[in-house]
Amino acid sequence: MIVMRTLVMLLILLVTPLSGCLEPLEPITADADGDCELLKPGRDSDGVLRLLTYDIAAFSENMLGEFTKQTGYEIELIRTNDAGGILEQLLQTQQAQQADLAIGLDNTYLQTALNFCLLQPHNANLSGIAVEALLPYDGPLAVPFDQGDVCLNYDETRVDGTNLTVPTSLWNLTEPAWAGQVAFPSPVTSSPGRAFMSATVDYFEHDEDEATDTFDWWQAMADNDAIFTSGWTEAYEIHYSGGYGEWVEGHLGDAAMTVSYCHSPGVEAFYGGNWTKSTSLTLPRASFHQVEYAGVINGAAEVTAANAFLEYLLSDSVNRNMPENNLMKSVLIGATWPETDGYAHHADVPSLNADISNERMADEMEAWIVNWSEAIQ
Amino acid sequence: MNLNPRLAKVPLSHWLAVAVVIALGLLPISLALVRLWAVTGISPVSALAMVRDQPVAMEALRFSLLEALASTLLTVALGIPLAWAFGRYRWKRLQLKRALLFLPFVTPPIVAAVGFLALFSPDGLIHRLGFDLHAESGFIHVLSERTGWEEPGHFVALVVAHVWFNLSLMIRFVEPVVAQLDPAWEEQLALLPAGHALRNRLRHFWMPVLGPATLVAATYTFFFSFTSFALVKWLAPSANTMESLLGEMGGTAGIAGYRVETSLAVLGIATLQMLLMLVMLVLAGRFERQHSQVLSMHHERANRSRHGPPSRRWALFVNGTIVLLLAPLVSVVIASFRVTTRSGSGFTSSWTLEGWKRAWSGDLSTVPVMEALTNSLTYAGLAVLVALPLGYAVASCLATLRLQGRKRLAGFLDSLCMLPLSMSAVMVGLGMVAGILRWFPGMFTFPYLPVLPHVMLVLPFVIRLMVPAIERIDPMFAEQASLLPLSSVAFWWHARGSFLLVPATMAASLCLAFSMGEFGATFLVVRVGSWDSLSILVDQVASRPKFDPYVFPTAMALATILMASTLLVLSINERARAWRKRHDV
Amino acid sequence: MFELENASVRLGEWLVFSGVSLSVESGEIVSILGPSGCGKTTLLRAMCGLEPLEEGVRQLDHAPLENRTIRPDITMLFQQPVLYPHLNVAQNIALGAPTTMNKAEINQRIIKVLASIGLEGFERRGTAGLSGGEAQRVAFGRALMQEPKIVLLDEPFASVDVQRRLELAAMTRAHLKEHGISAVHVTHDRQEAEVMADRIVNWATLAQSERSEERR
Repeated sequence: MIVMRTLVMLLILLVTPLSGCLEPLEPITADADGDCELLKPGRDSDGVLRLLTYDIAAFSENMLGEFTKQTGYEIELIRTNDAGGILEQLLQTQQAQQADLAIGLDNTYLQTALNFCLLQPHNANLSGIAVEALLPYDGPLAVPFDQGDVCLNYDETRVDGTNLTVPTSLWNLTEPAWAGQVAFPSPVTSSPGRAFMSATVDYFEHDEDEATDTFDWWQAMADNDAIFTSGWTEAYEIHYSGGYGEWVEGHLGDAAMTVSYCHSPGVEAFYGGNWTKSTSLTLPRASFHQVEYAGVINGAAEVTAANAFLEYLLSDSVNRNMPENNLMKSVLIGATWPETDGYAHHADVPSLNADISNERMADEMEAWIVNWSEAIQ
Repeated sequence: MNLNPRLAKVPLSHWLAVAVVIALGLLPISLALVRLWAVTGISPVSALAMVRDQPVAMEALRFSLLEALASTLLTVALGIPLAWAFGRYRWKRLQLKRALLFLPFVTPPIVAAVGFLALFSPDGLIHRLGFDLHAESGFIHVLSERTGWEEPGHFVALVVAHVWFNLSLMIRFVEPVVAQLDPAWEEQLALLPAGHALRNRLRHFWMPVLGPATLVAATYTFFFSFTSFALVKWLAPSANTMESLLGEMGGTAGIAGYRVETSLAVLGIATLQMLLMLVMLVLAGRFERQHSQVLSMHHERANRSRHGPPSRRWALFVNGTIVLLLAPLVSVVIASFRVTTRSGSGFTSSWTLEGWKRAWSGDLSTVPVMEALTNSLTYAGLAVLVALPLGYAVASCLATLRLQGRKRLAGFLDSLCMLPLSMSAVMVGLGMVAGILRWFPGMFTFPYLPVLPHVMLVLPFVIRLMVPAIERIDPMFAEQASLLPLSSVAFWWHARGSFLLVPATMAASLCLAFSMGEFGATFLVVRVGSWDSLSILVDQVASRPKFDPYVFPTAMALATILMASTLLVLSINERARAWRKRHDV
Repeated sequence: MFELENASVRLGEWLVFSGVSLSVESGEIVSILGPSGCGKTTLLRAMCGLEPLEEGVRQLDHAPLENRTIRPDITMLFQQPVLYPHLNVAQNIALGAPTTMNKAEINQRIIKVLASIGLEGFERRGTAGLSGGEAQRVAFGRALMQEPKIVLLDEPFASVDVQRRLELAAMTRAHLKEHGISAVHVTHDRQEAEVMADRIVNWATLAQSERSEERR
């Protein structure tokens, strides 16, 4: 009858788009030489610069308004949850990019972005950038705009030598005294977590014990009731007892140690009137130099505007304010932590950062994450 | 009587609406599942079998079942006496109390989440009632000591929040049964030996009478608790339900050659969750059919007059519950004016307007509040404009098919249209991200994209409201109208349309409340785009590192704006509904 | 003017009546007398096209009518008056106005109709508060607005008390005669039939139905 026939026809119309979709749309990747084709813009040019970023506090209304005044380009922000979200968004929309400039990919994600041809060459002048910021990557596809060192922070009132002693090796954290006392953001979902895990790969490759590797350590940590959270915020605010989390609703304060930045105690002091009980554990190779990048997206509609913004981002007036505005260090030569309220005084400096190349992270990160996930079960 | 010819046929436009609704429900998630299948090379069925080997997924399943069960049992235990007392006695300001009891259900989940957070803070009311999340004091400490459960606080907080949300379901389903019960039933029982003892009355009378309604409410409570997202994210951040796990991983899924193990996990979890929810829906449907067999319908007002005003104990219980139900909402408002700052090694709390100033002025890391509010209102308005006519057309088709005697076809189409109910909000979001957006990347520039998942999620409820409303219309009105010199439009209006104004207004209320507060689907969609609603803005601001003590009051101020605008939109709609009902329009 | 020839109607499995023939002259009022549940209502419904004829034909002014066709010339008053709750009295009556009338004409006509049925001043009254008799008069007023050739009355005074019934019957007859409208009136009340009708027909002679056999 006509009803059934109509329904069948409609079902066929619905199913037809699905035909052939058992073939995955292959993403565009770099060729053997690492080169990428320049993609067509994903949208029409309209004079509006779209920044793809996570919730970066550095972009104040004044700061962006000033850019608009200087250049005439209006700005729109597309926000994702975190740095991983930026990469995912770029991958999801590879064939039809909506944004022009990606800001916030760090060096644990950058090479993946480059391998998938997500960025195109920029015009920014890098002469004012400090060497340490250019060490992980100094190529033409991404510009560093802030940096920091990821390391373990601990609560000095609890790790006081009586209840808990300051570890001299990461293996100390697997001892019974440290059971349930350390909170780690997951490398699957958190970029500081990912950075710290990368550091532990290097740490355990350089320690005296050649029979064990980082995943043995992670397993031992899991067996010692280490706390694993999806994000930095949960680990730091809910579990870590040494930070501002104490006045946050839902705080548990069960962890005496967590992953954060070596300069986080400086930030605590900055907000806490030159006082903090948090400090950093600066074991050699147990910290990771994280650099965050901005890059012109391959397939961007407003390339000129994007390059103009890169220049603006690297300008003195903007970049030197990174510590106060974005709680990260400026990449400019001679940049230091501000002296205000003990920020510089309490910001710790790592003794020796882990040495892991971007290329290695890109090649092995997926395997590390799988191994890590298995190790902590 | 043979069917009136003017309403006997289903117009082609209604068949098309049915097709569109079914496609809307099935297409996105089908596309997503096919995408995940293509990317992983593993079918949904095989991925389902592999879930057993994924400890994170199994833990999420275990937690989901546990918290949903605990929430359901507690909701039923509290809800039955509440609904019974509320339905039985003559209460002052009955309509107001009913609206307040229903308030939690229409509160945006993110508002409830941050409200409970504020309540559980050391300064909060619940903390003083013995809910110390640190398990260092109060009831939670006792629970922890007695059971050896190390940190039960977050779990308890989540269950309490779920009970708060779902008590309104108990009122919605159970109260009318009590209110409209024929008093002769009770009177007869009182004259029989079986009716002398309370235990017997409960066993022989109240349980059978209230059973079906309770089962329906309990099933839906389990369903909503199982798929809870915002509350889990904020009140039990260390734990994952399947829904919150999907929410975390969904944005990464469906990308060929990148994090394929995540795509595999999402495929398995999504398939498992759909199956479980389908089972729950089938159960809910069965219980609802039992419940819909009318026991007896007696005039509510007469019943309440018979039983008179409540005793002091019942008054305290019901009124006290209403006050407690308001507590999280009130605490949101209060917390927007409070800031806790650290001075030296201590803390001081003080009153401040800074949170409101920041909420209003915003910063360019987040969408300005007015833009987010405008987005939310626009999405809500568009969702109503799309869902109401579509829902009506489908409901009309189903009602006509039943009148024609084609009950099986009607039942089959009804089930297909209800399928989106078996998908949680996050899964619908997954359908958008890994399905629609992946296959049709041009949709990224579509400014009203969130309307699509909102319409998908709300359509089953619109249809559920409209079908009985249409079936209740006396066919004589159509017959009489067919004998009058009326145009087609006038015929439709007088024979049907005018009778649907009240249920349509109720459906619009539901759409508006739901869309304003929708979190799960939008959360996933905005991960890959810029369609920020006010719900999402609250979550974004509250998620910021709280080095800056003004972050939380700012988030509370935004939550207050969301709550107020939702209630305003609802109240306008409710007034319209009450006006129409009073004027019998 | 209206003729029904050899009509039979079946509802589902039940043959309600068969072989019914009835003719109504222009301006004539015919009452059909029969007990409740015998099929009188179904007959009226078939006459106005609400029920299909299994057999037989309808003719209006010697022109055959297609089965199930509803014409504005033929209208019906149901046993329970069907007034639309979202409209007031005047608006309900206005629903019967022919499409050729303009608003001013309609309003004038409504006032006249209300006066003629004894409901002056009822224009803006809601329908919820009307008594049974008042409601049926409003329904009748709506039928008058329609200017039909024939009105079918299905026990129209059943919801009215006994005293008022005969008054209303007389009033209705007077109006029908004044406007030259034919009518078929079904009732189980002989007195009412005698007041209303030019001619009374017994259902038993009209219908030879096997319904009691069929029912079992």
